[in-house]
Amino acid sequence: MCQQHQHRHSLFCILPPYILSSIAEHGNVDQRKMALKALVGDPTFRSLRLGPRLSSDVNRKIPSAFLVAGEKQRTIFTANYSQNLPGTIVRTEGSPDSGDIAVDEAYNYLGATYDFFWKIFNRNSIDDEGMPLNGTVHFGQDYANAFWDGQRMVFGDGDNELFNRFTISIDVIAHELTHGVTEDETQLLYSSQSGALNESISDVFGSLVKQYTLNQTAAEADWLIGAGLFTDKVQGTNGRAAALRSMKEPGTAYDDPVLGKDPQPAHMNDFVNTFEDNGGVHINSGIPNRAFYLTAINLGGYAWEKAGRIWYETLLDSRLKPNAKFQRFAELTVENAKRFGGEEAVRNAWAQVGILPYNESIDFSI
Amino acid sequence: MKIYFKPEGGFGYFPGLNKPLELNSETLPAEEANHLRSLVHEARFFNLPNQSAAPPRGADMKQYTIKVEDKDQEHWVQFTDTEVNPTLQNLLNYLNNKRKNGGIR
Repeated sequence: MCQQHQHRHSLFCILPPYILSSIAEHGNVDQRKMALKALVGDPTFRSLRLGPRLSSDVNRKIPSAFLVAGEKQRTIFTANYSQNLPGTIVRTEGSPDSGDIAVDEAYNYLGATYDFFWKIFNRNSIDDEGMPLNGTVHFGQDYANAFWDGQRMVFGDGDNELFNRFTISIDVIAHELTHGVTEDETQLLYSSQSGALNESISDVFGSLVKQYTLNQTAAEADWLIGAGLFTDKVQGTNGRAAALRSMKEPGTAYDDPVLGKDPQPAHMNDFVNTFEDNGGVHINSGIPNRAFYLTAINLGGYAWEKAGRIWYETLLDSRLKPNAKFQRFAELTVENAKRFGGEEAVRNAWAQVGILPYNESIDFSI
Repeated sequence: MKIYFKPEGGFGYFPGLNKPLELNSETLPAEEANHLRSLVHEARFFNLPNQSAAPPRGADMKQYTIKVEDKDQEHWVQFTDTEVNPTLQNLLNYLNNKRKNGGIR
C-alpha cells in the first residue's frame, strides 16, 4: 500500500487499522480523510467487502460524504522515445492542448474513459477512490504496443509501417485503463482462460467507451477494437479496413501477408490451446467477447445500459475468483442478469459460443 | 557467438510477428559482429538472472527472450518492457532493429 501510493503520509502506512479507525472517527477533517484513504487500502478493511454484493451502488469503499468524486486527475508524461518510466510531465489536469497529438489524445481519451465509468457506473476512477490517471506517451523507439504496468498506461508511437500511434483509438486507451479496474476488483490471473477473461473485460469496456462517445446503439456499433490503429498497408477482410479484433466476428479483423490471419476463435469448439501469448489471452478472448456482443444485441438499445451493467456487476461480484474460467464467468453473468431482466438474453448468448451456464436457481438436492 | 531472440505478447497476438530471430556473429560483417559482442559484454549478459523480478501487476506488456551461446557458455534471459537495465535495453534495441531490417516483423 505504501509503495503504491507515494503521496500517502508515511504515518498512515505504519499505524494499525484500529488506530486508523479511531482517527477516521474522531480526527479533524484532514486527519479523517487521510485515515480513510489508508484504511480502504488496508487488506483487513478490504476483506469487509468480500460478502456477496447486491449492487455496485451499495457497499462502497468510502462513505460518499468523504468523496470528492467525479473530478478526474490526469497527468500525461513523455518517455521521449526511451523506455524509462514514468518520463517527463507534459500535460496536467486542466491545462490546454499541448499541440502534441499523442499527448492530447491520451489526455482526452483517458478523460472520456473516466467520465464513462463515473456517469454510467458511479465509479470514481480505476480504484473507485479517485486514483490519479497517469499516462506515458512516446514510449520506446518505433514501439508498437500499449500496456498497463500496474500504475500507469503506456503508449508507443507505432512503427508507422504496420502500426500507427497507440493513442489513436479511444477503445485502446479505455482497454488499458480497464485493466487497472479489473486488477483492483478481481485480480484475474493473466494466463489461460482467466487471462482471456481479463482481456475480454478490457475489450468490452473499451468498446463501450467508444460506443458511449459516439452515442451508438449495439446495432449501430462496429464492435471493432483498434480501428484506425493499423496503417493502410495492413489488409482487412470483407472489404473492411483492418482492426485488432472484432467482438462481433472474432477471427475476421485482419488477414495480412505480414501479420498473418486474425487467430481469434468465436466458439469453444475452436478454443486454442497454446503456451504463446500467456496461454492465448489475446486469442481466446474472442469467445467471451462474442458472448458480450450477442448479449448486447439480444437486449437491444445502448450496450452500456444493460449488457454493460451486467458485466460490470459480474466484475465486482466477490464470487468471481482470480482463476475463474469462462464457465464460471458465464454463470455469474447469468446470476447478475436476473436483477436486470436479462437472464435469458445472457444465457442464450453464452450458448451460442458453446458455453451452457447451469441454472443456479435449480435445487439439485431434491 | 549465436543469439536467439524472441519477442512475445503485447496488446494483441499476431501470428506473423512472433517469429524468432537467430544470429551467428560469424556470418555478420566484422564491424557489426564486434558491436554485437560489445553489447553482450556491456550488458554482462552471462551474469544476468534468467528472469527479472516479474512485475506483479500489469497487462499487455511485451516479453522478450534472449539466448546467447558463446564458446563454452550458454545463457538465457527473459524480461518485459519495464526492464530498466540500460545496457540490456541497448541489446534489445539492436535485436529489434535487426529483426525489422531483416524482414522479420
